[in-house]
Amino acid sequence: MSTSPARRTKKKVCRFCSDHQISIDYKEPKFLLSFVTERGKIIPRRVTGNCAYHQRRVQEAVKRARLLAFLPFTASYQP
Amino acid sequence: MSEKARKYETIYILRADLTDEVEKKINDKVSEVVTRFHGKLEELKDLGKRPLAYRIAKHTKGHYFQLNYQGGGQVVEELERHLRLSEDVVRFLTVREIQRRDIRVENPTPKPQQQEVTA
Repeated sequence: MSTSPARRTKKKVCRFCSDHQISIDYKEPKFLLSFVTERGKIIPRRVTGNCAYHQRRVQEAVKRARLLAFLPFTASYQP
Repeated sequence: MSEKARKYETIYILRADLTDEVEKKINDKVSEVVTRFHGKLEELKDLGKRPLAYRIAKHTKGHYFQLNYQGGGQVVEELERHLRLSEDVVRFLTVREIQRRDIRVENPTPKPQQQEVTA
């Protein structure tokens, strides 16, 4: 191991690279929900393990979905 | 027609409280706009009624429609102008369909063979 093994977690593989069947579509809010937090923020790729190319596609899709009210911009306030 | 035909996809949201008749009228009109400006209509899909993730102009529900067509930029311009003018359209979004290199070469860089004997 090159870096300290204690802090290194298992290297994540981009799920879109490992499975070419998955498409990133802004019309599938249920699927995109797995790439945003509860508050509606886009999860960084250091967490999801997406590669740069696919993260850009995800980012684009989430933003389009937000415009069409498939996804929220922010979580709605519920007391 | 000198303009290059491209593939577009427009999603528009109508108010959820419209009658089927009015909806049909709007959809027919939209299709008519596309063909009038020499666009080729490919598909008009009803994506159903669903709640909006946030309120848009006091609306909480919307009826989604997806329109796929080919044409020059003028078609998009006219179609969007038409949608903008209509009071029953809550929101719309036009996207150009791009062929993406999502299917990439399997194993672009072959992994170096794991060395079994280390010592």
